[in-house]
Amino acid sequence: MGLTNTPSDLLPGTLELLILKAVSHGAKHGYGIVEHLRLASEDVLQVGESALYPALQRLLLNGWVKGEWGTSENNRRARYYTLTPAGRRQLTAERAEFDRMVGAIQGVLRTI
Amino acid sequence: MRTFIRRLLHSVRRSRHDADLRDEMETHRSLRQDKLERDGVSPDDARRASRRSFGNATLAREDAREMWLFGVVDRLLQDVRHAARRLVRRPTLTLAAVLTLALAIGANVTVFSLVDRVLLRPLDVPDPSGLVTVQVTTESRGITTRRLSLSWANTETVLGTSSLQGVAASSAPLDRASQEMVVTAGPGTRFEGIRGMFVTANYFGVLGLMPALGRDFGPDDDKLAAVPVVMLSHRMWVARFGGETDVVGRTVQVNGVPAAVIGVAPRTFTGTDFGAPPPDLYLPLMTARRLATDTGDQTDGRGMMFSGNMAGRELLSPISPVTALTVVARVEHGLIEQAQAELTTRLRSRSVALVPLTETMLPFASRADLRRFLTLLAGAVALTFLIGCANLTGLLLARTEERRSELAVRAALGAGRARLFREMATEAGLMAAAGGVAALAVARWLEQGLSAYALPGGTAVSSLRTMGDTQSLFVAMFLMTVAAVVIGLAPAMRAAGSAPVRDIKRQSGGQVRLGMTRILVAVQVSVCVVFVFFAALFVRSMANALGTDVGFDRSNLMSASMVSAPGTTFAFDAPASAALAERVRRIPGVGAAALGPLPISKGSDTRPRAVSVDGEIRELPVPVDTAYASDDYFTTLRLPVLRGRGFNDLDRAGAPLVALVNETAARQFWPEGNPLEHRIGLPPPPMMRAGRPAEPEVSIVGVVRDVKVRALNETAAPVLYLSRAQHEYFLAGVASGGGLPFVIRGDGRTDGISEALRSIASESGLSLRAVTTIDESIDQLLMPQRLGRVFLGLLSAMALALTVIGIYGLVSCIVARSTKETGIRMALGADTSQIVRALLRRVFLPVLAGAAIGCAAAWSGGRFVDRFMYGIEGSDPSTLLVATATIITSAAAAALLPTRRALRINPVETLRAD
Repeated sequence: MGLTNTPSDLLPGTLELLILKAVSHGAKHGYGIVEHLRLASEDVLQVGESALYPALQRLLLNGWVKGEWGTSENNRRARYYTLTPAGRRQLTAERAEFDRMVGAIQGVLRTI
Repeated sequence: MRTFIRRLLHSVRRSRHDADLRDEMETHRSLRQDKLERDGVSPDDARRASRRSFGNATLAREDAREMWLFGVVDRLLQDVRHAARRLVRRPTLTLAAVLTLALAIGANVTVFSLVDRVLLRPLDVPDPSGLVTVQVTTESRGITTRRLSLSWANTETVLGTSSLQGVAASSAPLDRASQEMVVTAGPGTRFEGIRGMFVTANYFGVLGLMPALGRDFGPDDDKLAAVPVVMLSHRMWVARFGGETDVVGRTVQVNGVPAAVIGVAPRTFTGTDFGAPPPDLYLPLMTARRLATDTGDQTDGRGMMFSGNMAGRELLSPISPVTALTVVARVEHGLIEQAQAELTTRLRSRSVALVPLTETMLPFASRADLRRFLTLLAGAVALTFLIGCANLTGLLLARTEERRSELAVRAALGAGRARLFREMATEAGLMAAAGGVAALAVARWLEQGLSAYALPGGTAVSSLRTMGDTQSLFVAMFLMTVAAVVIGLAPAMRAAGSAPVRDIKRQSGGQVRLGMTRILVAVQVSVCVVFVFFAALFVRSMANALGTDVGFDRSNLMSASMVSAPGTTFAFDAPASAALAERVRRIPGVGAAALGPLPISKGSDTRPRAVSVDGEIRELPVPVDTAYASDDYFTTLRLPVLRGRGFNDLDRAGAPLVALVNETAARQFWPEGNPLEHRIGLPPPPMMRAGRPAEPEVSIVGVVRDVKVRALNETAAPVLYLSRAQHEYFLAGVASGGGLPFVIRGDGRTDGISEALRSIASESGLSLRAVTTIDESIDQLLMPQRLGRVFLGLLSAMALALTVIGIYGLVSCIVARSTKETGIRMALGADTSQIVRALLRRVFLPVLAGAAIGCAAAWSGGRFVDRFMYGIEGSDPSTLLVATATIITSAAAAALLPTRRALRINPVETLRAD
């Protein structure tokens, strides 16, 4: 089982899409996002921190997520990310784009 | 846009952001560790595993941070930070560089502002080229004089010229009615000696100016019966009224008459005549009758002093004490000829010409001087800038040489050429920027220092409008950019051209590439020769000037003049004057006193006239200066009477008229021999001819030594001394306007004399004008020389210091780079003199070449300064020799220290070191 450490293993922009999806149901900190992705993908997607945090910063910069400081389960300082309205729009748009892409790829693969 | 703002916020709170990120990641890691522990991994292993899976935390953080950066801007900031750090690490070099640039740029900004104000844009009004004034040329017996002052009648004609767009008139700077005003602004605030200017209501409008504060004059202000109003000059407003805005509407007393302050003139406007001090007050012309300084009886001949051949009645206006006016008019481009033609017809005179106003803002003779002086100055500071830049280029190049191996290693490790170029360029840019900022402070300081000086031509620097801050900023920035490019380009190119393989190899010896540096040294040396030569010329010329024999004993000599005070009367006749002189003589501290002009002092009463010699009117090359002197004038001045006698108490009104001449007059008029008993005729000025008998001739009773009349370097001209006592009828008129001129010789105790004179004057109903010592007058005369000495002295000291540093740097560099070569030579048996010769050959070739070029340049540039020299030629060979020798000696001294270092090289150690 290879670590999907770099975004290049995914389609471009997929990691952001996954993160947006992960935080769309409630505030999560970085570790929470990684765990969510791992569990939801049944251990297939294991996002490394070195990919996660730059991606999170990018989302923050674009204003799609916002971070609020809180306390983690083990009583440490943690930033909880939630989706902003702009982020929600972005999620919808990116999801549609992703579906279109996957559909297109499958269309190609289905040809004999 | 939002993204941009977030980025901006980020860069402001960068460290906070970093800490947040670190915290967040650490939490992440600890959560993973907890999870592993829960899964049954031992705490140590869990920590290790969590760390491992995290990968390179710093890199991750940097990646995360990169999201926020501005790209180009941020990299630039980074470059600047690095460069600043490198500069701070070498404080001496940096300080030297910044200081050099600050002085060089600062001097340039200052001189540029002078050139700008005097030559480029002397008048800060909209479209100054459309302004003209009227100039009158008169010719009398081959003597051409030009003046800008007009009579009332002529002014009225000019004011009615229809082809001029707007014509305004003002009292001429020399008109006495507007001088010496007394202004009171409430109890205890009394300002004396205020210079006013009576103007027509449209004066500022024609110039295109708006008051800085309050309102302009309106047509109703300029009426005979108008309520008196006054506009303050900006300087007067700031200096005397503290720059308070509520000054508008206040009432001040002008010569005892209440007048309302209606406004403040624009800051940059200081009148239209550089030769005269700028006006403090502007007043409506028609109110002059009430507000003017009382100048005594207007019907006598005082006006003729200033008005050449105009008919007497024309001078006087029934309505105003103002006798001399100047005109300023706006004329549309292309219509000037039409206006000129109309004027010629209306005045029925060809001697009246419209000339551009900016052309007349300096007296005719002094403009050429001033132009030459400023050109000299501008050239000098530009060269200083050049030499400063050359030096810094040299220094930075040497540093690049030092860092060559480092740069080579970095280039080998993959640093791009662009990167290295950028690094060096940033460093130079940073130096230039720091220099530029410091230069503004230097410029401010220089301008303040300069304001005490007068430019050649009598323009007081302080009377010039001040240059706008934005302008000096612009000039400084321009020079800064030039400096950055000049000093940064060569080192940056060299750094970028770093060839790793060759350079790393070269580290172990080989030739030193210093061609560029040597050329720079040659340039510096040549400029230095020119500077030191000019500075030495000015110093020697100043010494000559101060040592000049003025023809009389100038120790403790001073002049004073008493003029009629407003509202009082003094009988300007012989007995009254003599009694006054006697009182002055009895002041403690006064050794001798007489009535007469003090030579070479400003305001001296010596004035030129045309004369006839032995009944025959001669075409003389110059008019003869005449001076009216009391009996003890010659003894007071200790001016030796070489032949004949001085005046005595038999030379009174009614007795035969007598005169003394100076040696030059005696020689010119009577080349054959004895001038005694010969006669000189004084044709009266034309306006005086009517109704008066032709002035009788005077006979020569004595010859006195030549004295310097106007300048220390003048060649002696004929002077005629007349007895005051015999010319009272004439002088009475003069005196009421020009005052009684005293020459006073103190006995060393100078304090108290002014006060005593003042009280004598006020008791007699007179007022005392400035008391001036002869030393002050000479100082005044020598202002251009002093200015030149100060400026060139500073510049040449700077140039010399820079050159010495440059040579020191060059030699150090050569010694450092050729250590191995020297070591090998020594090991092979070369002796000291051979080593030194090998070293010095590389240094002295550029020095000698530079000196030769400098000598040639100085020699040919000498004519530029000839005009300002006293008793020395502009191309004085001995001075040039001394200057060149000084520089070569300094160069040798600068080379000495590093050369000694070369001699101390131990061959064994050097060879082992590699």
